Amino acid sequence: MWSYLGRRCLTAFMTLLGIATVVFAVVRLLPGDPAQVMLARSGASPLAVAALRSELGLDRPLAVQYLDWLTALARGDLGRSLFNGRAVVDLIREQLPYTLELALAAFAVALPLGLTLGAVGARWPNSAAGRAAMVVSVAGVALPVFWSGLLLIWVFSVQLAWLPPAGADSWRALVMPALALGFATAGPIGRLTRASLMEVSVQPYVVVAHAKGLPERQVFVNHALRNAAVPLLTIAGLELGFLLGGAVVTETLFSRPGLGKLLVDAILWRDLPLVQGVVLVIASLYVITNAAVDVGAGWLSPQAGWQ
Amino acid sequence: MAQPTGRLAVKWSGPAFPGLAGDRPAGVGGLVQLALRKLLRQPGAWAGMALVGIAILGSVAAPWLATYSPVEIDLQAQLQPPSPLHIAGTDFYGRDMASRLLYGGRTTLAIAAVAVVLASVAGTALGLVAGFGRDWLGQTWVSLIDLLLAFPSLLLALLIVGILGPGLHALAVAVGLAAIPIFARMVRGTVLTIRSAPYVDAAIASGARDGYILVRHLLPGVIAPVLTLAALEVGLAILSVAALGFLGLGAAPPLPEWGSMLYEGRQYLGVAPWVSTGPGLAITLTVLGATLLGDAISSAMAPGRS
Repeated sequence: MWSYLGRRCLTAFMTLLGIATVVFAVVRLLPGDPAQVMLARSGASPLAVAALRSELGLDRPLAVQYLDWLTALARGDLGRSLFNGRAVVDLIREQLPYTLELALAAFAVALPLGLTLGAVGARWPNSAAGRAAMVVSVAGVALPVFWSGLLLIWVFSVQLAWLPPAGADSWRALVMPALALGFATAGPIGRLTRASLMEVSVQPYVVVAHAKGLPERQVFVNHALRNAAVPLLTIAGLELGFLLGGAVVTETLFSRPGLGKLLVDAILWRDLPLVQGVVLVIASLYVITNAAVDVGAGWLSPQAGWQ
Repeated sequence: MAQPTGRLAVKWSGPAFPGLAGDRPAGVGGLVQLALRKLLRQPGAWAGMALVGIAILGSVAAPWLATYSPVEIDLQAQLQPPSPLHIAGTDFYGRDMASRLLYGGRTTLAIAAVAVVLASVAGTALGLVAGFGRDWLGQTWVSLIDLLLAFPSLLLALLIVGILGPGLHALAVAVGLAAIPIFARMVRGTVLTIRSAPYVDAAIASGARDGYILVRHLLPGVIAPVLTLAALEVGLAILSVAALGFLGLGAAPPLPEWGSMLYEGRQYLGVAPWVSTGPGLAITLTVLGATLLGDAISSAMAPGRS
């Protein structure tokens, strides 16, 4: 068991290292000069571009830049924002709680809703309830967060004036963002849940359970649902990535503070150190959560390698 | 690849086992017909085709269908509700929403299409090499794909837009690059399955070169799954393009684009809900159509179940 945990932690660490490398590579290797892009709007002189290049260390050999990047990361240093000169780590630390709050609340909506939709769709595939569940799931996929959120604002803020349309001061400001983002995440979870339940339902042990005359309900709960639990957990973890991406849009729509808002502002300000810092932190959150989910899945299923 | 040893080490640069391994599998036309018949039997396929068809038709025929210029400002007609004159109303600058929706579809759908083509071509190439290469090259690609999959795809797109700077070209590249790993992983999985097929063994044994095996034996096998995945990815690409447009990272105003039109309408939600309703409905219905069609295609391509 400990060796499995150790192995999983090692893979997660390697992935984190890889992510840091990819962010570094994307920033340095994409065509175009980041310093030029950053100063494009102000129409800066070549001299200013050269100065920024040397300030960011872009004029040094790639290998040196890479080593510097990794050693700074190991010290927890993500550089300074070009926009306001503050440490990127501090900016992120201020915004992180808002995004975590939104992500957790949205996940609390998405997981039960998505699993229920998928289970109903798989249990009664040809009934009205099953079809309705799948229609709702597809609607969750097709409705963009920024549109469903806008509809919510229209109903609950503009028409009924029940909930604030923006901000993050109280739990009331969290209701609509969590619902919009949660519903959008429930769609894919529902579809994948149904697919994996349908896959399990043709397995030999389910067929045998039917053949020996067990009641439909018992087969579904004890044979299908239990065996699908592990893939379902993994799906839920993977959809977290969708949720973190969607948080960027949700925060902009509801004018909520958070990492997503910070990232969009950083892109619009052409603040490269801030962009790479936020992307790195969000991606790392995603990797760490998935590693935790994997460990959880291993705990649920003896085949996955706890021995 | 290494030269096979023994009696089979014949120099042969033409097709391996002409007439057997080099030829296409018999009855490809029949298979396509079968899949098409299975596709058309599903109501979802028809609904999807109708929705996607309307969106494409409207975008392509925008210059003929639009009754107004999509960018011309008319301050006499600000924020007018839908009427016979402006069937979808007008926006804050008095621009005709119906005309902007038609032209906006051009931008949104064209970028999404370019992104999906880019992702499927590059992803297929990457996946073929990753699946076929037994040496360090294949291994490197595999780890690279796995790494890129560790990023939420919208986040990867945002990073790329952040580096390239906002704009339409950057948007297409960003959404396309972000979807490459999904295609690469699927192609690699398919290649690993096909590689163990007897006709590939036969080709290897007869000394066919790697490039030849890749193009003649492996590529045809991955085309159908790639097209299926592409159909499913179109909807997601439209959503990503609209999301980035909504964030203000896409089309520069006044060029219409569904996502940025929705963002503009957000400010007038209380007084003129139609300004954001139009693009919102357009995105939702098009993505719904693409998802239904993608689902129908993948279930028609799935072997066995009908």
